[in-house]
Amino acid sequence: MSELTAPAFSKPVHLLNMVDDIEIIHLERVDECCGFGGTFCVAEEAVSVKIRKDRVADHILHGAEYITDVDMSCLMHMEGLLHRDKSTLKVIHIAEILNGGIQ
Amino acid sequence: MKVIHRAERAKVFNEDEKRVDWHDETLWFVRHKRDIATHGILEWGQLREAGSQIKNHTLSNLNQYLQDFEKNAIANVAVIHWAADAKEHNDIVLELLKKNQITDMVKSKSMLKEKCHLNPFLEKNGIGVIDSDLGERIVQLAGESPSHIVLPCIHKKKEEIGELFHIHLGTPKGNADPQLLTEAARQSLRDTFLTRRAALTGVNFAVAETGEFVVCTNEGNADMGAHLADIHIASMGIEKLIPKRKHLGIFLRLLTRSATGQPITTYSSHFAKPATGKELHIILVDNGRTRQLSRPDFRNSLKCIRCSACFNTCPVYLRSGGHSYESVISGPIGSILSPNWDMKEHADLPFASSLCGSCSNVCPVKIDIHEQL
Repeated sequence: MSELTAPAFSKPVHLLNMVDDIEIIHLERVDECCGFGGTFCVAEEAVSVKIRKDRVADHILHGAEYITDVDMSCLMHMEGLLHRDKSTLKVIHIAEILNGGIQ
Repeated sequence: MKVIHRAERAKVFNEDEKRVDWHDETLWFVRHKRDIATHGILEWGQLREAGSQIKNHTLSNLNQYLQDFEKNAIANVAVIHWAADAKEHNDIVLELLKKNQITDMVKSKSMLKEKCHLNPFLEKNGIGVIDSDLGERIVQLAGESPSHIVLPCIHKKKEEIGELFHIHLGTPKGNADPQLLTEAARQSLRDTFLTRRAALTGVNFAVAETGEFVVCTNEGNADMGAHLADIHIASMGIEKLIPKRKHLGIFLRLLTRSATGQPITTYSSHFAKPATGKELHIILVDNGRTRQLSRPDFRNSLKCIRCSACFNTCPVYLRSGGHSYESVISGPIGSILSPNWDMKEHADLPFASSLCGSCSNVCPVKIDIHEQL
């Protein structure tokens, strides 16, 4: 959490770093919200859409190929925009990556 | 009557996407400065914890500390007034001005006075009010309300301020040079400072042990007003107390790092005794605070020191602007405080959050903002 001064440690990143051929992209805003927020995206559609747009744009700007997360709803929210824009940027749940090597 | 909800006002704000981006980036820059300032000191976590605990303790013993403050302030020859609500507060101010036959006064920034709608009340009663904080002066000239508690005119571009100053202060048309505009405001305010006999200020912290209070500004406008006027009227919410002077260092270190990323405000001025021949009045205002204190789920919100860090990090605030909240205190903390004042009028504010929790993590006094929302 970028707001706190405790030493940064991300469990998902730690796990992802154990997977071969993954490069973690650093974003302009390390951990800003995707704008979903459950009923928030219904109650405050315009703002929710704008937050999402900015979040996705940050990934595109830094050349990400995949957006991954532990939270399904964040991913679904961002995927909606990517689909609509026919973007080549894909979303993938972290479990899909971590299980990817298992036959 | 059609009720216009916050979400609709935010939608209108989003019709001009370039402006949204500009608003977002301007305030994110402040959040970024805040990050640099807080990561720059090792003990940030300890300071937050200490600040939170001192506020918790003070709120739990508010009755005692208020009485201590009153006793010590009276010993300093300050005059203490108690106001249960906005009306009582405004009446006290008006009465003091009338008693001294004062028709014009200068006021530095105070969210409490905004909340009490003091300016319109005084103007209706024939008192001229000039706001001396530059940002507040700008919104006052524009006939608007502040959109941010620390940066009141952050929604305005410098070109718009140039136009406003051209109309009201006679600066050259089309000139938006910040230096020129600031100088024009300075010259115009200088006259105000020299001629007003009454100065109103807010209070950032009041020390129960000594009966003194501290006003933090970057412009020195509260000092200039208070020192030149015959009467200084300071209004404070009863939750502004801290027990001892030694606690002040914690809050001064927390406040401005959180607000603007500065190590400390340019002016952190202590007021205790009136100068010879002058008067110092302190109005202690409840206006819903004891009600909030009685609500276990929301009492934490009274720890707020009005730094606005939660505004500058909130993805919703950044992309909807302060005016969309239609409340004196907007942003995440305003979405908790405002419904306390009027539950119906501000019923939609708590929905203006994606509950991401960034507000709680930046909060210098550890208010669990997103949990309360």
